[in-house]
Amino acid sequence: MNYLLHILVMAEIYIILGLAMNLLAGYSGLLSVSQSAFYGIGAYAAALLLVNTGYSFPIVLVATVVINIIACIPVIAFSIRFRDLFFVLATLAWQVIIFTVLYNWVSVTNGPYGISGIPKPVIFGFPFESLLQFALLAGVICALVLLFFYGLHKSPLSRYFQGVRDDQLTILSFGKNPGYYKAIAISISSGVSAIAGTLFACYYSYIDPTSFTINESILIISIVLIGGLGTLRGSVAGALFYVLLPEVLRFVNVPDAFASNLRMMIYALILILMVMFRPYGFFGTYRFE
Amino acid sequence: METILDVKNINKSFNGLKVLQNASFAVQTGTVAAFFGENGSGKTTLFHIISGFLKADGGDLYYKNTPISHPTPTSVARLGIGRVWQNPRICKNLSVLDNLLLASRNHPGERLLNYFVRPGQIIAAEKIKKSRAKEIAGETALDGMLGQAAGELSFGQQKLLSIGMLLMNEASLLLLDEPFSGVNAKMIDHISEVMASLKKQGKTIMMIEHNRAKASSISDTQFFLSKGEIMQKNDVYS
Repeated sequence: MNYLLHILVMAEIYIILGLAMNLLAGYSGLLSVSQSAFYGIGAYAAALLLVNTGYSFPIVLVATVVINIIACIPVIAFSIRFRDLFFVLATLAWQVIIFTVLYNWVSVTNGPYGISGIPKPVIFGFPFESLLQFALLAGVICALVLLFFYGLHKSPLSRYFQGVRDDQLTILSFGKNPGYYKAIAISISSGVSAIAGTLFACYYSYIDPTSFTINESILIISIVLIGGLGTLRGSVAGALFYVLLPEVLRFVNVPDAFASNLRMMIYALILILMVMFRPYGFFGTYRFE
Repeated sequence: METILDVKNINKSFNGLKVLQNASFAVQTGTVAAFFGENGSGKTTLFHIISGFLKADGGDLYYKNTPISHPTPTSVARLGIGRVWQNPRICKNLSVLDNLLLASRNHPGERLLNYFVRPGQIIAAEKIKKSRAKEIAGETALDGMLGQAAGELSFGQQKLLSIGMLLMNEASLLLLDEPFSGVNAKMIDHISEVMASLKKQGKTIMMIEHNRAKASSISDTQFFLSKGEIMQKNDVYS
């Protein structure tokens, strides 16, 4: 049972990350490789606040969202100046900077040793201590995030994001500022990633910088590419695929010594096949040219 | 008749090559002005400058007798000058309806803050804008295709959609870059009908066109450019 609940919690966290990434890559055409940095900033902000201040979980959750929105200001500055590949490179730089800070700012982040003893969430005096309780809490938060993105998808704002993605010149020609919509998309994506980071920190009670590397950013990108860009169900499907596939591959009867590597190789192979034969992913409406 | 656009002594060079030399002309409100000339005569550069996509080396632009200082694509569009490109700039993954709505002027849903302070206004405006978009789709014969992805439209229909988007943006002066190029005879007739209807509504149209016969038949004023200079002006109805 605990094994299934663990998978559920992981799926919930990655669905949130996938939805946040989809707003950038799927709706706004901004291929960010710093999503893991935002996830990490959120996780560290939550860990530090929970360990050092004793604020309650809801306050910490809101605070991490605000911190992440502030933390994405440099990326917003990149996005207004750069496009396409240059934006990817700029976000790559941001990812490297954040990882380096998390790893080396020992007095605050405890460097490679990470932060331990992160308390479990307590809401209005009710502690979410068991795995089932945590999975339910993460499920409710995940559902709210999904609802938020559904509302955003249905709103006129979504059109402007997609307009920026399809043709910035069109947006400009009608007297609208593409940079404004990019800034909003990046802020929302960063804020939502903070929610995933907070859940991650509370779930493991321990975080260190190795969870927030460039590899994690690439995994988050692969989630939206597999699921399909530009749709909510694509992000959900991609996250479920990413979380469940390695678990399914556990049942392939191979020696333990290389089971983990084999799983990753099979996962990579499936990714290559997806790119070749289903370039729009499972449910995508858009793909990068 | 009032002058909507007054262009005075516009100059533009690229790496020493003079593309526009003292280009001066005026366009009257509610008329159709056609610009003819060989490739490289400066027509498109002129449109780029008027629509704010290029900066002139010298000269002045006046829109409704007010100087346009430091024109940018955004500021020019907000004044009411809209542009249809030779290859239509549309959002190909969005539906026809969404493209029209995207271009609409002053939609409260454009601004994030309004979602917190005026959500009701956004819902009401969306309803009004949708209804206007449907009217415009009717005017441009795209009413049966509102839900279709814009990228699936034919080239001519994409041009009509671009014109429709300018109408949603409430542009008064429409710059059309080769509206008849790359489309069949039936579509040319159709686009010219739409242009005639826009003229009746009081819109002003400036167009670059190589199909001189067709453009002459619907234009009131014709300008001939050669090597960056306006060589001749014909006022058809004056």
